[in-house]
Amino acid sequence: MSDRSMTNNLRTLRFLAGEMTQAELGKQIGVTRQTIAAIESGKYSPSLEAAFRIADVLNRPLDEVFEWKSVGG
Amino acid sequence: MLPQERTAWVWITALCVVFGTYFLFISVLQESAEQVSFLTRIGMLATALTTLGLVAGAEKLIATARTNSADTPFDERDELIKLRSSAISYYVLMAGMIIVGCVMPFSTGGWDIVHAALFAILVAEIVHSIFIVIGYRRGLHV
Repeated sequence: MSDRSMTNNLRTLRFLAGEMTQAELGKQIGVTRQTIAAIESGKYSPSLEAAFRIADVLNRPLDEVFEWKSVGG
Repeated sequence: MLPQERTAWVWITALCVVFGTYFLFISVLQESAEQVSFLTRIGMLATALTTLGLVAGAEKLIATARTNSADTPFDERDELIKLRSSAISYYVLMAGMIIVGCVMPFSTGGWDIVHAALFAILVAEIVHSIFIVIGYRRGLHV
């Protein structure tokens, strides 16, 4: 089993996108504020479609928003 | 706390209290070696189910009035947590029903089988709610 996990820079990119709130981002991609919070805290990995929508809203490439990193590194 | 998680907590508590009391009464009555009439048993079961129904209805009313949860969208995370919980509780229920239907008839019968089936459903429901709470608290990774 891979020792990697998905991480994200959602919080930073959200701030850089005009200090967008979790609720605003959630509304734009069709999920709740709580789901955005869960994604940011690493408690939930979004579906592929949701991930693409987030990247689209933030106007960033997908691999800049989400990363597949080694655990602890 | 999301309405879905709150509902799961209410359901866990209500099931444990209502049916814990029910099974306690049943076991006490059986220990006392009294002959419990059919009507008494049905009455107790109906009381337990009615109480549960009232708790569920009250919780739904309170949730709707408090947070306007009817408008809260049910998104992909909620759907996944619900699906995972349902899948796990299905297997718990299936195991219980196999024991009730395929093993118990060879050793016992009557109300023992009824109560065992009820207990299996109860455990499956509690497991369902517990995994909903875990999904929201600890997270869910597909």
